[in-house]
Amino acid sequence: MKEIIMKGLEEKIYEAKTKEGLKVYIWPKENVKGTYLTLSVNFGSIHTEFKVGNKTYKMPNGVAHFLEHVKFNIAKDTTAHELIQKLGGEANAFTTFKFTSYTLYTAQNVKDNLNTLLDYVYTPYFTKQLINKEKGIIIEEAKMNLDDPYSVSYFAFYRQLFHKIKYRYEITGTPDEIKKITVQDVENAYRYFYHPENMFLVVTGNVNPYEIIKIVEENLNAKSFGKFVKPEIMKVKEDKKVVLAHQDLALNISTPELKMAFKIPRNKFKNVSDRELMIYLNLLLNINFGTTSAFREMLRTKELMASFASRVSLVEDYIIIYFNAVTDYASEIEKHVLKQMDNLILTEAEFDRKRKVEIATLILQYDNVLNVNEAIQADLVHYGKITDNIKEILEKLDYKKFQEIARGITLDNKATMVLVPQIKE
Amino acid sequence: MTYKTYDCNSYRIHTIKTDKFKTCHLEIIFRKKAQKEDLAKDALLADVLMETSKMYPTRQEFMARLEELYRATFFGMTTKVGNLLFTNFIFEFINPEFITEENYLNEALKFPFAVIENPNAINSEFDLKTFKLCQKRCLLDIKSVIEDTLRLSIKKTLSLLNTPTGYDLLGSEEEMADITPSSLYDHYQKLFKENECDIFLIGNLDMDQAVSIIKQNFHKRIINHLKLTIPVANEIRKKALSQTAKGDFVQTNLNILYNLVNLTPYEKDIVFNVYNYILGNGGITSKLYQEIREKKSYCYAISSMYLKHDNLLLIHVGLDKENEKDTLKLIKKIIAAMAAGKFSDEELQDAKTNLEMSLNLSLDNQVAILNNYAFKVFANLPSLEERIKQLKAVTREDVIKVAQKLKLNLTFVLEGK
Repeated sequence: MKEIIMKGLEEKIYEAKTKEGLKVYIWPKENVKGTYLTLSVNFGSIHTEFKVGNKTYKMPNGVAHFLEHVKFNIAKDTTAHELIQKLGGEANAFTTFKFTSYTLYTAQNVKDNLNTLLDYVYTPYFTKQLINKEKGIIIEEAKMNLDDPYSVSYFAFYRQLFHKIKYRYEITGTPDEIKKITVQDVENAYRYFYHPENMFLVVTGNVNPYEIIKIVEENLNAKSFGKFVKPEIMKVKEDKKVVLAHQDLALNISTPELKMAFKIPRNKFKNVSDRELMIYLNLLLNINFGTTSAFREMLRTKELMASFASRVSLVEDYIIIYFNAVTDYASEIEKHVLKQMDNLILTEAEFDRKRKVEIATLILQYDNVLNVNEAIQADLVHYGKITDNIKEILEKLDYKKFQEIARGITLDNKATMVLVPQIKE
Repeated sequence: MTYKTYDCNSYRIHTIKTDKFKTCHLEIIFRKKAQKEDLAKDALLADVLMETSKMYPTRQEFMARLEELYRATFFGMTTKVGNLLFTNFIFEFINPEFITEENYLNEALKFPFAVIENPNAINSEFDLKTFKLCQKRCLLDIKSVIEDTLRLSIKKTLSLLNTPTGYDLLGSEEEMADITPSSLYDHYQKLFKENECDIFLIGNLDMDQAVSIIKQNFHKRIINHLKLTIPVANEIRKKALSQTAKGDFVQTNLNILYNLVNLTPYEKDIVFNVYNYILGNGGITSKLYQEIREKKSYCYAISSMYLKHDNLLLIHVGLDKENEKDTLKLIKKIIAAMAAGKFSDEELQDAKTNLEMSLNLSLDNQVAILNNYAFKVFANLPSLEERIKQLKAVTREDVIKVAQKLKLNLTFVLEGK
């Protein structure tokens, strides 16, 4: 077992890998009642086309989420929920674009709970009857999302940005796509992705790391896993341009809203890791558009908006810088954002002040077993490892580099969407 | 954890000292009887006071000060608790042990009181820009109910009761739009005069020192002895009401409301939670979930909500229109079966085990610890430790007894396409 020292934070994360290939991360914290266990698989809604050996598989959208739902069944009329409830624990699961996670939060019987989590996730039980029953439930979930204007506009905006990247499809799939899912699809997804080699377990709470790893090793030892052949995810070739520069979308909302985004190729930013790039870009947005920015004060003074937000994300080979405003003056806000993006504030004093606060508050993140667990998951999914030197990275952020990154931002590839109210009650 | 109360004549400070957390959490809570016609003003006031202040007259300055305090957070909100209206100002800041600045605790604790005592107002009127922005935001919030089918259907259901349970927390659109910077300032004056006030503080601090700083900075001088009763007397109907409205949504929302008749304090605080866990609040293994979702595939979301201070139980389900009648029939059957004692010892034990676990987990959360303590002060809620003890002693007979205290009040359907 390896100890990962979180430099400058006085925190330690234990890392181990079982002989079956499962990576295990443990953050012990004394003085708490709860333990949070998450078993995750690198398989999400975007992984619908892949190749194993010479065979290519293409599945309907929504399979990862569907599999997450039916995974709780372990035998006829038995679900993992029932077993975990007897032990005392809250079992849940979620599916994202890039991964699926099975979660268990408990204050007791950690050993039995952990064994149950490993047992149910590694026990495939899929029948035609079960799949059909679950379709009804998931279709209702998808319909519920169709009644949610934020969910509808979220994916509609992704479809406006991306031609092929699979973030453009609903994680649940649409009701029609869900209807098409078969037992075979679910079995294939399970067979090719749910292998310890393609998964990781994160345990945070009042635990002894050596005991945890022993439980995991004994549990997996008693199971048999075939050799893992990593599925090759079919890469899509994404056009650099946005799909559509502008659209209005009528929805069941009370107030108009502007969504705006710049799609910038990742390779415009040289000699910087993904992790650092995201930190720099977040700082840049914070200084220019955050709650203490002159820009936001100007929008407020001119009474142009009810709320405003900005964020940045890395979507495959693209950096997406987003803006969102609840406003009756969408075109004016758009002009102001463009102007600000063209004249970004980059003073060294401002940069240093924000960086100082970031460092001071970093320590607060290690205060809650749920947050730390989620932060470890995010690190593993997005960057493939735990960033143990985040404090150092922040301390070493360089003003010149900051300027260079700002210069890499291009504004010629933009999409805007205006959400307009469809009905009045 | 050490609990202590300091009586400061016109208000009380309740402290909880613990070294479990890296941040400190302070809540200034004002309480009064909820008046329907004042709710819009109450909500807008909480928002306006937190937007800017005399010392920090722009939002940019206000937020920069919070950032200087190492990203402290400060916000205000109103909540309805039974018959009462709470106005909470919530301030969270980093534990001074992680900060090298010597005067940090003093500077941090000064901030929330300086803000609520020195609003951004001139000549008895709130600053117009701040006022307009907040009023617009509150209006949008009121209007946005149409975007959320669950919220809309619950609002419509509870409004059929004609009691404080159905009051809209933000008031109506008209009430909100009618407020002026000057009428809001008049209302602000009443915050200190016509409310009871309690301050709660949790963190790893020298509490005597913290209390002395608060006393220096909080100048509420008026002593109130208000007679405040939390529970709402929602009357039982001779014949249950049944209403349907058309909505512009894909899904249909079905709400069923039951009165809880004459629950004792023990039943209210302890036993009914066990009943509700078995019925519909215990997630995937609950009766409602199993019968309606798992066996029939009628829905994705179904749950039962215990509105403790209103003596009500609300069951909500989002489903396809064509399954509505069958679902209603099934729910009534499940309620009747519970009253007839048709639940297993295993289900009872599972509910107790998991509720005990939730109580234990809440000890990891400082806001939960603080809220538990607040309701011990306001409503005699037994302490977490005492509740765990009482929970363990709940019997099958106890649960059957509360199951027989449900009386159907109304059903409301917001019909989808």
